[in-house]
Amino acid sequence: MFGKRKKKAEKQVETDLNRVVTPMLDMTFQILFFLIMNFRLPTPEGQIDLFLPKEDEGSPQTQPIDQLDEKKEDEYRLRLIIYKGADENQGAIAAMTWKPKKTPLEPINPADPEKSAEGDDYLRRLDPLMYGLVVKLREFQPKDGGKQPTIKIECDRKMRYAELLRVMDVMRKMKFTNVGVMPIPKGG
Amino acid sequence: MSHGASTEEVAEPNLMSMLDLVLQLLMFFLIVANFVAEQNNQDIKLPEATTAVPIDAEQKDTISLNVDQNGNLVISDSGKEEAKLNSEFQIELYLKDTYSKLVSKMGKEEDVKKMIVVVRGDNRAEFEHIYRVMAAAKKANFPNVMLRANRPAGK
Repeated sequence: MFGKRKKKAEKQVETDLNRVVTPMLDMTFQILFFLIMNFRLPTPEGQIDLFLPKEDEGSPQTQPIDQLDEKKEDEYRLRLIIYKGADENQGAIAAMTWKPKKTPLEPINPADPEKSAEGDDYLRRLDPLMYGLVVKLREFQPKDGGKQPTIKIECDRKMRYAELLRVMDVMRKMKFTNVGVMPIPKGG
Repeated sequence: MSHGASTEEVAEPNLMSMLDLVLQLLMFFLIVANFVAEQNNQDIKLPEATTAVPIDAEQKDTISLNVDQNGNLVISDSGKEEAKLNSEFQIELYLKDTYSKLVSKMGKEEDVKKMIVVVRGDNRAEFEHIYRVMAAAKKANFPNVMLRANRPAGK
């Protein structure tokens, strides 16, 4: 008789606990739903260091730009020329020139066995124009502990920002750290 | 024959194990939740760069400048409505004002000059819009400028 009453009491407690848990579960589900809906996979961000050349370098110059460059040792300029058509390529890099000597960079197929050197996977996946830059940069690549040449990237004002980051990425991959950006000087 | 009403059993699901599971999920989402830094605008789609250096957790003295795809400098101070600055003059004025506020807050001008200005530019923006923000930062006495980019997963 006593055992039967105890069993009944236990069952009563269990049922009551379930009744308490139900609203808590409801609330928890609501919070969970809110968190799931607002959940965004965190993207890892990183930083790229650069320098900005002096202000006067972006202004019109009276002397031909090539003559100015030749006076400075270990300083090179890479000019990025963009597509200006009104299609999907608008603002993308169409050509590059390397100064001194204002040499247009030749697009090179990364799969070309004559021009390509041993590189990592990243360099092999580059487009021919960027790979042309890699080949040019190899000529000036600083040796371990050697002096870093200065490279100033002259960008068209209407160039897509993502394109600059692409070039900066290649520069850093090729171990150039002393890189500055500036717009193409007016009249340059 | 003891099948009376007093012994009738009510079938109820046991919610305890379900609650355990739900609470675990809740804990997971609470911990992993991306608590967005106040200065970082999540609408800006950063370009990708494999060589971008991971952000130093101890690097606290930074000013984030968000540039949207239309080239506006987006300012979202806490408790205020989001403002968009679109002219060179406005941007310069804002940064000079920020500089003087920081100097009066931190006391030393050298400490403010050591701060890093991080430009978070949208990958669809034009170079001139990013450049004018960087140039304005330099004019406002912030010599250290960095560009923020997304690091591809697994790099």
